[in-house]
Amino acid sequence: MQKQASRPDAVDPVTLEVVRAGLTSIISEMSITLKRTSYSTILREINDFSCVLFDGTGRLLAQAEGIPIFNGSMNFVIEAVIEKYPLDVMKPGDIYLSNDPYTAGGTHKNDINVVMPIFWEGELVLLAANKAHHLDIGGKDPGSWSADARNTYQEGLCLPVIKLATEGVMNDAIVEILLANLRTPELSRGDFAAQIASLKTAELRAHSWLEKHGSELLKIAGEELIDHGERLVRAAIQAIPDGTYKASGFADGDGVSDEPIPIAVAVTIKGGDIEIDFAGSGEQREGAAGNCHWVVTVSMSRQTVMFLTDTALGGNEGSYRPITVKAPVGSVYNPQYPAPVTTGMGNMGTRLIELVFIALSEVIPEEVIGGTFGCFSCMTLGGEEPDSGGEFVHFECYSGGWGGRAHADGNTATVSLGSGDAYNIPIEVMETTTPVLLCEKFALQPRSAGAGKYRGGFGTEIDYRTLGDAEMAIALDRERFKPYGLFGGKEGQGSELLIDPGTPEEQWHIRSSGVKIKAGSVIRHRTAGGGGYGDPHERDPALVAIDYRNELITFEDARDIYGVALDEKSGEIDEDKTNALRSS
Amino acid sequence: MSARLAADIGGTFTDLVVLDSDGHLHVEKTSSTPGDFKSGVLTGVTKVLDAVERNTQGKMRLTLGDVQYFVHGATVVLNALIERKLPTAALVTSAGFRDVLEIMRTNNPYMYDLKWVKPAPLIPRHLRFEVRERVRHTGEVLTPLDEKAVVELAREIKARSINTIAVCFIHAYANPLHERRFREVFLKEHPDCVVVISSDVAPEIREFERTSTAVINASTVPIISSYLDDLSAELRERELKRELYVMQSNGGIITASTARLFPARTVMSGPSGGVVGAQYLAERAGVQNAVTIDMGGTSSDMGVISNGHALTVDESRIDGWPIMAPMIEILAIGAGGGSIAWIDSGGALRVGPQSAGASPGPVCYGHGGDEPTVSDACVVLNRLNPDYFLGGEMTLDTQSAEHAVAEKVAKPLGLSTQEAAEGVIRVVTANMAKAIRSILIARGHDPRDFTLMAFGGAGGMVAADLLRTGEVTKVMVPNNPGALCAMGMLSTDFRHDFAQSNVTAFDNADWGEVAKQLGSLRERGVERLVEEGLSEKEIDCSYVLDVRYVGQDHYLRVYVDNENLDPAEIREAFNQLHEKTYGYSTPEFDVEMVNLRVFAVGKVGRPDLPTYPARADRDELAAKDSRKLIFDGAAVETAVYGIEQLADGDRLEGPCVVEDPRSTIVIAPEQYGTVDQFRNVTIENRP
Repeated sequence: MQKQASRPDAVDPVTLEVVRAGLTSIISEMSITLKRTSYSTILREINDFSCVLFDGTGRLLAQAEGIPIFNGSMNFVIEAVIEKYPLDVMKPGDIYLSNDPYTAGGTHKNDINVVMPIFWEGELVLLAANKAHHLDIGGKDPGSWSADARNTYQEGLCLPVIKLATEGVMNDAIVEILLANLRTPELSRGDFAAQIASLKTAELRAHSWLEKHGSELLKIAGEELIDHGERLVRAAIQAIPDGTYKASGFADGDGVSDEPIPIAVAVTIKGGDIEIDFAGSGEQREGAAGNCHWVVTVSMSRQTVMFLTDTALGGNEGSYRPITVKAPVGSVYNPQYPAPVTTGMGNMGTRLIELVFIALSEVIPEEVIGGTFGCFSCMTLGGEEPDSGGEFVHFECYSGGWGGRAHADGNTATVSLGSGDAYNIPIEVMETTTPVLLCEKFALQPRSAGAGKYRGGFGTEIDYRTLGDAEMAIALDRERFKPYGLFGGKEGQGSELLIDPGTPEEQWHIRSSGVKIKAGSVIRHRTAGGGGYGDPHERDPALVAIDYRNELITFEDARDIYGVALDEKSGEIDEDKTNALRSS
Repeated sequence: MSARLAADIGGTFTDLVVLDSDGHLHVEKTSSTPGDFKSGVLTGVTKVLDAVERNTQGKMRLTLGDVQYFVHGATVVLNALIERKLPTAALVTSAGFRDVLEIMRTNNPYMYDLKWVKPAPLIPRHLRFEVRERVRHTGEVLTPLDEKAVVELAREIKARSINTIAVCFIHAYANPLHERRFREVFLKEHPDCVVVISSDVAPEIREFERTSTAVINASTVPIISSYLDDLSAELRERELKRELYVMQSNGGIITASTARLFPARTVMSGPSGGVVGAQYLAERAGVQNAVTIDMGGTSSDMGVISNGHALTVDESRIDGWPIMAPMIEILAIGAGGGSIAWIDSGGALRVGPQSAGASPGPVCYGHGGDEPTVSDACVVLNRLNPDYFLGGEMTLDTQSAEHAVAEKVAKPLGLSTQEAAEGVIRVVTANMAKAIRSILIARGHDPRDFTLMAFGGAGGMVAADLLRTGEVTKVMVPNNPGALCAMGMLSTDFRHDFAQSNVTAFDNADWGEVAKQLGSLRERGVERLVEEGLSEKEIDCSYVLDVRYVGQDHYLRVYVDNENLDPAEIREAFNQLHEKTYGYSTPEFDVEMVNLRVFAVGKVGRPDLPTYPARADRDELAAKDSRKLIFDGAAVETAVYGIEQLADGDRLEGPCVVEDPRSTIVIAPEQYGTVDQFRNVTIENRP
């Protein structure tokens, strides 16, 4: 290179950026290949996948923006692979496969990981990996998303770390066994091809990069990239006053029992280090919705710290060094085999982020937000497609309201804290791929936002009519323990799911699976609104008037909650009456 | 005597180009007049017509009456969108879906940013209305349109004095009859209203993207209409006889009356002009494959020319709002002359995306800027002639630029000021190289097969550094780099793109029917072009099938011969394209078509560019000046040439600088430049 800094084994800040740009462009090309060639709506529309690069020793080097929950978890995948297949036995063209949270560092079983070493001049210099959510992985319910699974076996096919390809030759038997266990094998076959193609893209692009820059620069700059990631996070932690900050609360239930689940956290800041300890949280639960696997506990904790730091560059191994996570063995945040964990990832994992926000709200009130609508709010529907006779699975993560903040209202209709750049499935695409479902309404849920100086965002309501028989699974949270307000802000309205609302057959579900739904029924899925921030009486009356005009709050809400007197017809603000309301 | 005139309105300057009947090019520049862009255009027109007389020493005098072809970009539309200065408009949707516009796609694009505020909807909830009707994805009507409700709604909207509405019904791309009937019934009650239906502007699947397109179109119809009406009237008064033409985002032109109906298709007309200009120039210069980079003050717009054709995309986003319309693919990145260099909290050097913009601008402009920018780094390296900036109209404040780079970059990094300045340029060009790679590789191209064409005010300044990134092997800086957009508009064809959704597996397809559908799309195109004054022999159509594996969503575009549709051949072409684009193909998987497309192009005569023949006497090209530039930490005596000195076949040994009143080209010591007959300079590494 043209310029070397003083340390012989270091690169200057300029070269560092050149290397970073090269690595992130390889990752974005992996993502493009995966997205554009995949088959299921969960990958091609929702983007529920993540591509990363590790260095030649298995340390996370760079990752794409995307789904936060994935980004902090990939090191567990690589560690499990290396434990079974050490780096020195890997050969070019080898591909490893896994999904098991307990033995293979997986998140939940639908998320299938593939890993491939990349060699240059005979040396292993990088490992490319991606994780992608498959629509179905077997198990007791279509979509493998069971709130009430009682053990890991009910959650689908288990893939320990296995060698899928040896020096470029695929073991087709593995793919055959895998596909034979899934309800939607054709979609998974295509998605699987896309995952492998993404790895090959990485190899191709990495080779052309290495041809130009060589592997020595990659090693030296990689070291520095990781150190730089660490410095960024430490700088942000140092801005938080030293001390231990605690919060506790309850999650709604575990899918088998509705007994509230106690959760607690103690966050300790000491200089540039942060420790997040979940001691005090309840014992692991029988039902899946109440258990957050250790991999997810660590990954969500890391993401929580990323929310509070400057991470436009994406995290790497170094970003996580200042973060220590603890949870008692056998607790809901560190459940032991064979505890079920799939749906708990969304429910308990999102709770975890919010719990840390609450704990830190007293010291960094400007950096945290009010309660969100909670978990991924996923619903799955499965059954037989009346036209084709084939099996269908509809799976979607729904959006809801986020909490208000120090200087702005919470965002409306946004995916959960852990979902990042995940998209919804357009109604028109959903009806085309799943004609048995007809969407009758997709709208904001008026009055769902928690009031505040800055109110929460609004949740959504989506109504499906089933045109054939179907089976439903749902895993919601924030029904009983609603999205919290901060600093005087009010709670958001909770979530709920109704079947045939307003009829004698009406049913109400929060965490259920195997629910039989007859053709012609209506499924109404309502997500929660975000919690408010600050005293509603301090809200700008003009903003209250706008919400009223937009039919998102009522005349009475304006008066009774916000202390704003409006003309019921015109929506004009009566200033005198408003002052009177607010001073009383 | 006849001539062509193009006007490209930029944020700071409006560029005008006249190509006179003798094939001479006349270039002028005038300040843009935001708020009333028309007056800047009119000033510029006078200025450029005067220039014709001046440049020809009075031998040629042109009036607007002599201009047979006046094209310009519809910057008003883009500006109104970005500034959100849109007229009050309403949206009508199928019952149950009025919030689709506000819900968007539910994603959080900045995954760790808790402070990100989702964009406020383009139309507020109280102006979004629902009507009972429903169509399925097959086009089957499930619930008939409630026409009584349409009448009531029309009355209400009229009573509220709203004169522009967008209509988007679920699955209207599959069956547009409800939207059309709605318009008919509505207009009877409220005849003065602009009614934009989604099936007209974007007959494609995905309700949010289609709604957004319809809303953007509806909201900008009044803006473009009043602008074009005013401008046309003024130009007619000045004796312009022909109708005004407007550049579209797809790189073709349409008449002003068509533009009034489809303003959403003209949003990116300025940047597309640059790519089309580059395409034209590339063709003349014998360059088949080029990646273009138009580097301005705040950002760079990149495009791709592959085998002589500019690449297009079917959807893009403006400020987060999607527009479904074919557009020349433009990748905008936050890297320009005004991009700010800064040190992050982890101690790394970063450049952009924040920019000093036009105001205060880089420190060296002396307008109060105090953040070091890319231009300031160039000043530190003595790349810009402080006394010849904008042809001497502006003097550069070298000292302040050095001070800013020293204090804010060099000191924190422990580098010398010059090292820091070189670092800033390396970082910004690395970001640009990353973008070059992503735009090319996403399409399956190898950057090494491409010539980089660097233009815009700042393109030549960093051309040498872009070559140094190793991403490409040749960098061409076109003559008149600032006016390339306007030149593109002079060389562009009439163009209409038509698409028809037809999702059918190859095995089940009726190929006779496919040929018939392609034929009818062709007829629509020909009809539109004939209306615009073209004769049939000037019209050229190409035919495309969008193809994918059954089950995939994204498709690839396969050009076909509509006279002779051979499914096996098309399947094979698709497999090859998939292999080329994504590195693999699965020929054993079923294949389906998604859309049929016809691109109908009306060829206009291509203008000739002025040429500068090789020097007859073979005299050595003599530098007009020299100064010391910094390369790799050392001050190197560097020859300075004026663009007006260059002639076909000249070789420029690095290091050297070529100055033009509006831009500067730098060639590094290990590089050399060659000059072609148009005075384009191509830079390569010396072997």
